Amino acid sequence: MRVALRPSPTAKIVDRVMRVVLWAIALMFVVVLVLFVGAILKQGWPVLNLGFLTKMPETLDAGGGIKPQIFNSLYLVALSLALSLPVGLGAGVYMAEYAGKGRALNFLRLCIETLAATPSIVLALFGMIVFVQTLGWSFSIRSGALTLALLNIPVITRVTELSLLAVPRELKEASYGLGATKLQTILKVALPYAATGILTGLVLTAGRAFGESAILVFTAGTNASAQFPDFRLTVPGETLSVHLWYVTSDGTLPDAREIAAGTAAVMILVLLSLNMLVRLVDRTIRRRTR
Amino acid sequence: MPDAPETALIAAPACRVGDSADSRVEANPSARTPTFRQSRAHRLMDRWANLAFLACSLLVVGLIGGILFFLASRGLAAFLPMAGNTGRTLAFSEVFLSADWAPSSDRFGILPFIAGSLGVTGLALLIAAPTGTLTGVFIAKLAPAWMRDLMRQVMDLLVGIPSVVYGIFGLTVVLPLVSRTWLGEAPASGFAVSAVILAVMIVPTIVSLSTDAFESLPSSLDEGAQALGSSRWQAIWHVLIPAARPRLITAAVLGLGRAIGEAMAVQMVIGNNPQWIALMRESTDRAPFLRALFTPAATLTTELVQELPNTPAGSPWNNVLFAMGLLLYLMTMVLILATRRLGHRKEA
Amino acid sequence: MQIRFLAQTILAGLLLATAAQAQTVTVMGSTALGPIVKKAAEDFMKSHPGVQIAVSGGGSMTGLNQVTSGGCHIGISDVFATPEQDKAGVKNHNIVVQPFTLIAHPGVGVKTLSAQQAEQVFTGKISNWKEVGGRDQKIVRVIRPESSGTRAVQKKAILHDHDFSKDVLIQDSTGAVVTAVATTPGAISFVELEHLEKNKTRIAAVAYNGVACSNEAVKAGKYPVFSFGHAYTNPAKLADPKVKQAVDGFLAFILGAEFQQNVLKAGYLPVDYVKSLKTQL
Repeated sequence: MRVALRPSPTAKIVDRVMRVVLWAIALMFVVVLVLFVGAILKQGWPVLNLGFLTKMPETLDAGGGIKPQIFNSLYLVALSLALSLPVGLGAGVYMAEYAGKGRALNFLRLCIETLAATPSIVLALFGMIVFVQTLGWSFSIRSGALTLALLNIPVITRVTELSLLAVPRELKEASYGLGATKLQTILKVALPYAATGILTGLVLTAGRAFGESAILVFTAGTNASAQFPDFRLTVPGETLSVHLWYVTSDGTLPDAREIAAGTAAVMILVLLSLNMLVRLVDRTIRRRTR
Repeated sequence: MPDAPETALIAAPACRVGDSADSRVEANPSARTPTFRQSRAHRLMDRWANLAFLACSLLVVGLIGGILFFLASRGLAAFLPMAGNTGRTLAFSEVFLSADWAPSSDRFGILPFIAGSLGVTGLALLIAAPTGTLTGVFIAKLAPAWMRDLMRQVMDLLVGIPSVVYGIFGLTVVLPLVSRTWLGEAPASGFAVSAVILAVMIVPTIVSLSTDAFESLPSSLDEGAQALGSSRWQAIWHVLIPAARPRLITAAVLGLGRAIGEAMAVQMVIGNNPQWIALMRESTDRAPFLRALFTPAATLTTELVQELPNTPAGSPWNNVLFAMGLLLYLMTMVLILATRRLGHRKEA
Repeated sequence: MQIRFLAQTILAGLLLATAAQAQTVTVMGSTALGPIVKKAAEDFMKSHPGVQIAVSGGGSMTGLNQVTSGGCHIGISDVFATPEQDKAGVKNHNIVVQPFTLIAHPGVGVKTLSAQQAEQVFTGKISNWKEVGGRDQKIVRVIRPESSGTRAVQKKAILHDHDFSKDVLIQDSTGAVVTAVATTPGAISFVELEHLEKNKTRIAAVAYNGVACSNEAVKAGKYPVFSFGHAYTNPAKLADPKVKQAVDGFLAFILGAEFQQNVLKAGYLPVDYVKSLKTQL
């Protein structure tokens, strides 16, 4: 190792300078975020009011709201989570508890990583070919929810696996020692212990699905149902993020810019509150484990 | 790894995990408690559960294959006279080795998009990898607790902001600002602004992975270097960064993967000109590189978002677009395999 | 406990999926025509309570692809069907007239372009506004992607089928085009007339051959740059007579005198206005 025994004067200066540089880089990201969020909220703030959140959108005139888009966002996120949670949990449990440490696990992990890294536009193409075209489901909530689930599955799997691996071995051993089967141990000991970790992961997954647009443009469409609330799975379901993209790019509405600004602000606010939620969950866990 | 320390519990022979469970229960019936009754039904359920969990995992494996199959069924139709090809059958060379993209005039060179994707992600990585790695080392080794906490929140938020919001911010705020400030009001669309926005989007990935990498290094490394009299920065530069290098490279590769697949944000700011290579070639500019930074260009993802909904099914045009999707997917796989190789080398 | 909750959620979802559905006509395609067709659907559903009309976007060719394969009942498009789709038996209905206009950044200092100047601006022969009597400023050509219907009209009517210059800025949709023109000094583009009217404060109109685009000019035959909005059906795939009746009723409603007057409010022209004109795009 080429390390001097005592820092030379130049080394000291370099050290000082680099500390300042590192602080500067870190603070730069803080500033970027504050400016970014600030700009979005500032643009959107004048638009945000109860009417905007609770009115139906207009097709040609100014003054429309985003009520069905809010509903569709929540509905699609909930559906996609409901679809992906069993698969993700199952695969995560398998990887943590059953797969052992051989080639099979390695291959599984490779698949999960690949799915996690697959660009959402590629998932969108897959959803479009399979659900929209081959199955003939057209742009609909069900096409969107199923494709969106593909985005969630790898994240949930990974979070489940990691949370289960973090369960102290003593706990499981104790459970086996009491005569429990593997399934009983997993369901009644390991999963409850890992639940908070999985929950945090779920909230983050929900946030990601909430902001996703590329997938939904090609599978759920750019229109919201004229009924409210419309629980049917066969109607197109435009979400907030798709609405934001569509309104900005289409621009047939005279107040498109205001609506885009308001929608962006709503999305940022939802994101901020989701992050608060995660921190809250995190803090309660820490307090409990202490 | 959460490998628990050896404890008295593990040492006890009755507590072995696995198939010995059955015999254990018979041998020691007093171990039964009201909560854990191990009847035949329970054992059966156990077996079914095993299968169910396996099925979930196989589903994931099946998905990887399924995506490949369906994308290939449309993407390869551009080059083969198969079902789903109602037009001319193209040669590989006229698609992958040509920079001439004019589909309505029957010319299908996708080099501009491949080069565009590589160019913009490369630039983004050039910005994000050093800053992200340094931020990682800052969080792991230098920052006080409050700053560490703050940075973690900042990164969580940056990664959570939807790409459309980034795109709109770029389109309505950054582009006009750059154009007014530095370009004498010439349009700012192109690689430069797209790469900066992409960099902000992938920095959280790199930061969080490199923070983990530095935190997982044994503290003896750091302490050893300092005991030998090196400054904090010397320890970081000469000891910690080399030690963490394989994982840092993995972090950068995963960031690259995220960047190359990003569609909506880039599409709004890059200018989407598929003729950008030809334009650059014709240009007589004295600073071609600088000019390229602010020339409207296009990438694989932006072209897909724009053209796919408006091309007739079965036409060579439509099929080539799916082939571009297939290419993106294969690129992802290569990147993931690359991170694997890096991981193995680390262990070796 | 979690698993039980999950099972309940999924079950509820499945039950909702199988819930009874009304007579539904699906319309897909052009995002440009979407709003006007959506408005028609709202009005039509008010007078025909038994019918549901679901309008979704996706792009002109998506609409045509889907109507050809039977994936939707009506495909709306701002381009004509391909020869293959015609062969498959799709049927065209012209539902509205769509006038197009040249627009520019307000600072360029040019109010009109001759047909030849307009062609040369977009083919790249003219690249500075001072060559056409404006400020000394580089021309920034903002156009739509190759697959766009607007671009097809522009290529035919303005460029007379010559190729676009390679030095262009491409935006995915009219809204993005308008934003780009409004924020980029020296920019010029080509959009549907309605977008000019809605963004008069941000962008400037450029007359074509001395004639400013307006409904009256198109009606009088003085302004030649317009196209039709199309609604395609595929009679071979409309097997269910109830659906066929609803589809025919809806198209008749759009073409009826009452709704054709309504399209004026949305920036389109009734089809009747140009019946006598020879220009066809």
